[in-house]
Amino acid sequence: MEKMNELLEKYFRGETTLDEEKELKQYFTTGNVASEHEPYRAMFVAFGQELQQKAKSPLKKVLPKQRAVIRIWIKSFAYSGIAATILIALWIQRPRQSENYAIVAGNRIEDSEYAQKYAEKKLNKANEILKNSMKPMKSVETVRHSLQPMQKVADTRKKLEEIENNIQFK
Amino acid sequence: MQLPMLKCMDSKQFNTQILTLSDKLFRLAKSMLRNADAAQDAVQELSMKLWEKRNHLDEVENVPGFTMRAMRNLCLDTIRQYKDEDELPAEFEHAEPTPHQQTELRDMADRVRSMIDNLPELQRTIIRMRDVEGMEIAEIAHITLLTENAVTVNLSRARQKIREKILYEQKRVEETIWKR
Repeated sequence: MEKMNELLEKYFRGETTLDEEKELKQYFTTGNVASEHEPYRAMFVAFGQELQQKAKSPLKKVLPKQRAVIRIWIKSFAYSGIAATILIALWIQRPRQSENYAIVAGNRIEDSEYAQKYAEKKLNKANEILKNSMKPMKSVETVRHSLQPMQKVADTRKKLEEIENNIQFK
Repeated sequence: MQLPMLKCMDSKQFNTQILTLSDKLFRLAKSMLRNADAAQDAVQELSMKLWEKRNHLDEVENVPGFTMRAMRNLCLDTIRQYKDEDELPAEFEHAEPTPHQQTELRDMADRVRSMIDNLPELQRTIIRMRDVEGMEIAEIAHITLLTENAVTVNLSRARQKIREKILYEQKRVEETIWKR
């Protein structure tokens, strides 16, 4: 009795251990309860009743079943997607050959500066050759120029012949 | 290094770790929400959420504690929603019975349950975690994010209030009997 009084006071102060609380529960639910403790019996009975409350439907029914096959499919899809992405990325990032190159005597040249100099050199050469080959043309022109008076002589002769013909008719 | 596939919690592990807690989770939700249907919904919602995050549950040290804490947070959100909508769960019974009703209607254990339901949320959660579930103070502190001292204080207050109410009702019953 004394002990239970003490234990109850300790209980209401929140100082009892779990073992002591078990002892109290046992006292109130199985043993003879002293009349002065009788009001508290309902408390411990209520606690015991509440522990019997169970979730209505077992959760397993609602939870999706783990479908191993589907999961493997999803995973393989994901992994192949990742692999494809990596391949595409690599393809895009691949080291590219320079688009500026020249073929010189069957050799590929990628140094654009060198190629430009080479081309300029060749062009200059071609220019010179052209200039030189134009020289005879110039002399031809002078000859034609100096021959122009001769043409006039020929024209006069033609005119004279025409006049002569006209005269013969009359 | 572990392969990600092996790390993933399978349904068996999930069943043993989470589903065994479902009754406890239901009682916690019911205590907080004071409504069996709402509690059932909360348990389902939490289970779905945990199932979606099962791959990360391996990283959790104390799965039952973590789960109970998650349940409490979910219920606190629900309570806040109820408050926003100015609506109380349907099952909430808070009528104080007249001594007449009491003698014929309810047995005292039911009365005690309704008294606990009328306590503030934190107090009713803590008293049930301790006196119904038999949880250690440290465990309750972990779930409620309180210090152990704060848990003890709230537990003591809750028990004292129930005691006072029981003694008060007892007194009223005796008075009516005398009057008769």
